[in-house]
Amino acid sequence: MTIMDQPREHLASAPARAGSPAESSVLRSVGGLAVQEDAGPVLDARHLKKRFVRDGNSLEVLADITMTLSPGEFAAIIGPSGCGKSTFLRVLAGLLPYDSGDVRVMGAPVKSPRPEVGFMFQGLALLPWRNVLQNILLPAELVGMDKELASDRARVCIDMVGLTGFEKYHLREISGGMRQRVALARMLMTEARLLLLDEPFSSLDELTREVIDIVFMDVCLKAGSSYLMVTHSIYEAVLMSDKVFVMSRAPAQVIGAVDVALPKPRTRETVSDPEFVNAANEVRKILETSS
Amino acid sequence: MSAVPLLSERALGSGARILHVGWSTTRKLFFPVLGFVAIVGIWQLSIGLTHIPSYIVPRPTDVARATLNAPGLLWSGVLTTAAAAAAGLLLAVVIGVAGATCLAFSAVVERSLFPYAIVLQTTPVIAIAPLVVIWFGANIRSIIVIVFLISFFPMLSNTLVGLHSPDPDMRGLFRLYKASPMKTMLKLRVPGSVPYIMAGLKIAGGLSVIGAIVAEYVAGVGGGQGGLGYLIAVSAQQLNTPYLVAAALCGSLLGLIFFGAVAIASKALATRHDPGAEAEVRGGITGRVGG
Repeated sequence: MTIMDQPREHLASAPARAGSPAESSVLRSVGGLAVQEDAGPVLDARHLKKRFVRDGNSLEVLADITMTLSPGEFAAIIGPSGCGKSTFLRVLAGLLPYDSGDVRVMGAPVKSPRPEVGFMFQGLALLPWRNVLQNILLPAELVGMDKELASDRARVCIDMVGLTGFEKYHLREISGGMRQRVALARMLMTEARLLLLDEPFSSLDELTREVIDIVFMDVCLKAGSSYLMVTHSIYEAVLMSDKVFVMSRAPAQVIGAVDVALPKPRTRETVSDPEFVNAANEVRKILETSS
Repeated sequence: MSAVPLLSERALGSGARILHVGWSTTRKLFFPVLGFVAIVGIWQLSIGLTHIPSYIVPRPTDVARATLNAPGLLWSGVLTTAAAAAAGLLLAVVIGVAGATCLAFSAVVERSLFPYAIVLQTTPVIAIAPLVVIWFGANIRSIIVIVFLISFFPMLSNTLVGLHSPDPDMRGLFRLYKASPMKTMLKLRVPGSVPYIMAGLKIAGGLSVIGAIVAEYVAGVGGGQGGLGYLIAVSAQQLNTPYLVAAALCGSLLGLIFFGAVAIASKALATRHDPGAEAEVRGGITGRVGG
C-alpha cells in the first residue's frame, strides 16, 4: 500500500507504519501536498551496467555508473548526444532492465516501475484527446486512486503549477510552456519523490524555457521532490541543479560531478552570480575532455 | 494569458455564420454546375446531330424520360440498395473494430490471423458472390454479407494501424503507472485510433455502395429485393439503355450521399473526440494562451 492509497486525512497526520521501508520518515504537509522525508538517499545507483543485444551484436551502453541523490536534491546529467543518458534514466524508472549493479529508490530495489518515481518524457506524452484536467487525472485513473482524493490532489497540483482556470482547456489551445506545466502536474499526482526528466524543455524557446525552469524548481521545492534531469544546455543544468553529472561518450560513464553551491529558490538573477559562472565553466571544461 | 480570442470565435452569431457558409457554398458550386450544364448540353446536342439510336447512347432527355416513366421502381431500388449498403457497412464497422481490438491484444494472434484478412480482401467479390448466394439464399441477406466482405478489410486494417499508433513515450507512461493491458487498450489505444477508424470508415462507406450494387448485379435477386444492381442487370438485358443510365446515375448519387454522410459523421465524432483538431484545420489557433 502506498501513500496515495490512504485516505487524505491520514496523509498529514499519521506517522509511518511500522515495518514499512519509510519507518524513519516524518510526514509534513507543504502547500497541501503530503511530503515524506527520509534519511536515506532518494536514489542510489551503484555500478550500473547495461548492454543492448541486437541481431547477435552486443553494444555496451552503460559502462559503470554510480550516482546518489539525497532527498530534496536537484541534479542534472549532461553529456554528448547518444551517450546513453536516456537509457540510464529509463533504467532508473524501471522501464528498462539492467544487466548488473544495483538501483534503489527510497531504499527499495528497482525491478519495475515504482509509484515513488515520476518520469517526464521528451515528447511529454500528453494525450491529445484529453483536456488539461483529464490529462492530469490520468495517473490517478491508472493506479486506481479514489475519485474524490484524485480530484482534491489534482486541484492542489494544478494550483502549484499555476494552471488554475485552465482545467477545461484543450491541449491545442495552450502554449508549449503550459503543456510542460500539465506534464509536471500530472507527474505530481502520485506524490512521486524522485522525478526523472528526459530533456523535457528542449522544444521550448529560450525565454519560455527560462520561465519554466524556474517554475519547475519552485514547484519541486514546494513538493519536496528530488529530480534528475537530462539536458543539453550547460546553462540549464547549472541553473536548475545542486549537482551536475557529466557523462562520457558511449558507453556512458560519469566522468565528473560539479557541485553548484547556490541557494534555492533560484531566480533569473542567479545566472549573474560568480558561483554560477564558475560552475558553468567547470562543467564546460569536463565536457570538452569527453569529446 | 487571456481566453478572449477563443471566446470571440464562439460569440460569432450563428446567423452570420450561416450567411457566410451560404455564400461560400454558392461560390464553390458555381463552376461545377456550369460544367454540368455544359457537358449535358454538348451530350444532348451531339447525339441529336449524329442520330445515334438511343438504345446505344441515350440523350439526357431520354434518361430523364425513363426516370419519370417509372420513378417508383427506381426509388425503391435506391432504398433497397441503400438499406443493404448501410446494414453491411454497420456490420463491417462493428466487426472490423472489434476484430482489430482482439487482434491487437496479442502479437501472436495478429500475426497468425491478419494474413487471412488480406486474402479476404484480395479475393474478387465476383468470385465469392455466387457462394454467398448459395449459403445465404437469393435475398437481401446475401447482399448484406457481400457488402460486409468488401468493406470489412478497410475497417480492420485501419483500426489495427490506429491501435498501434500511440508513440513509445505514451506507452512508457502507461507502463510507468503499471496500467493493465485492458486499461491501456481502453484509455490509450482505442482513443488513439479514432482518427484512423474515421479514415477507414470513409473508404468503407464508398465501397459499401459499390459492393451492394455489384452484389445485386451478380446475385440476381429479384422480387423487389434486387435494388439498383438488379435494375441495371435487367435494363441491360432488355437493351433499355436510358433506364440503365438512370439507374447508374442513381448509384453514383447514392455513393456520394454515403460518402458525404460518413464524412459529416466522422468530422462530428472527431471534433467531439479531439476538439482542438478542428480548430487547427479551420486555419490556425484562434485562442492559444501563453505562459
